[in-house]
Amino acid sequence: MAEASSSITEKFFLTLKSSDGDEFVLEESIAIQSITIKNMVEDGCSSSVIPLSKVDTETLIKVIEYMKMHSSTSSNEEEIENFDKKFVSNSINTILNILEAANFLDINNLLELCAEAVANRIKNKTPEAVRKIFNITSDFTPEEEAEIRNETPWAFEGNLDHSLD
Amino acid sequence: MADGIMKKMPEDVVIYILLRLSVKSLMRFKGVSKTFYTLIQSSTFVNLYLYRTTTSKDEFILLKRCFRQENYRYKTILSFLSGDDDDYLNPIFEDLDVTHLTSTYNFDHDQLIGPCHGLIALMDYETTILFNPSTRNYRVLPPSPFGCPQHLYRNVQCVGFGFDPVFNDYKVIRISELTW
Repeated sequence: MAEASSSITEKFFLTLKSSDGDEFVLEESIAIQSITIKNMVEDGCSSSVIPLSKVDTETLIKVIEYMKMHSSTSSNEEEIENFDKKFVSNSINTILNILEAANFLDINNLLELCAEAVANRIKNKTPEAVRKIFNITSDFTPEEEAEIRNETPWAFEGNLDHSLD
Repeated sequence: MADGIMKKMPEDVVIYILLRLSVKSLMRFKGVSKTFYTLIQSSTFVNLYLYRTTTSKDEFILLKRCFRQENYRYKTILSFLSGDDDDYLNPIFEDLDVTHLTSTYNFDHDQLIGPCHGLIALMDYETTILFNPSTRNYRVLPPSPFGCPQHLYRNVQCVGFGFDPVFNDYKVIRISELTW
């Protein structure tokens, strides 16, 4: 049992388990940047392993990297800025996975960072490229598609980006 | 709705991304799938988009010009200009020819009212057009039910355009006086 005087400096650790079954031990003060985890801790789940069934190992590693960098004490503003810049240069698929994890884990600034990054990457893309990135099959007939194009032909002007990243 | 996006990505995540895109990108992405089309046009999404944080990049100057044409008719052209880059005003997109605003009257009396939720009302002595500069769509409102007896003219005294939150709809008023 921790005494009242030592509890200020004492570190608590949580074990997070990815959907692939890998376990990660993380300081509680860092992990509770995730509101989902914070709520679980407050509900008394912190003594056991916290299963994150919607987050795979690769994504969880990135999310933990992010939370470590953004936990208040260790890093300065410039470091964080550079980290974020590098972070969003990951492939768009990786960012989409992190974005989904951030949504599930309820980490607001990570959600915003990734949403902004995805928007920046796709803003000049063609509908075809967006479909491929989001893994969507078109349910429009070619005629319907042409009709949408004619509704706002100006939206299809300029140099459109066909790439998938 | 059997659509890949909903299987893979929760809708709120997609909305997060879409809220950060320009109207031009959104109009293009309506063609991605039926789900995207419905989502982007939905009043829920439009309302969220309306209250997102905007930057100076979202601002532009709307210039309305009238040209006299044959038979003393006038033609109304709207130009969209941005003064961001240099001392010149650059068109950010093509001029819009508002075909319904052609009349034999002097267009100095035309009123541009708004913006209200990003919409502008263009009003002359009898026609009212609701205009969305972002999507470049405009819609002619049905004519006023109050007729104007022959040999009399309408003299517009006062106009107004706003949103009625109780009825969740826009309202336009025009108070005119009939004169000889």
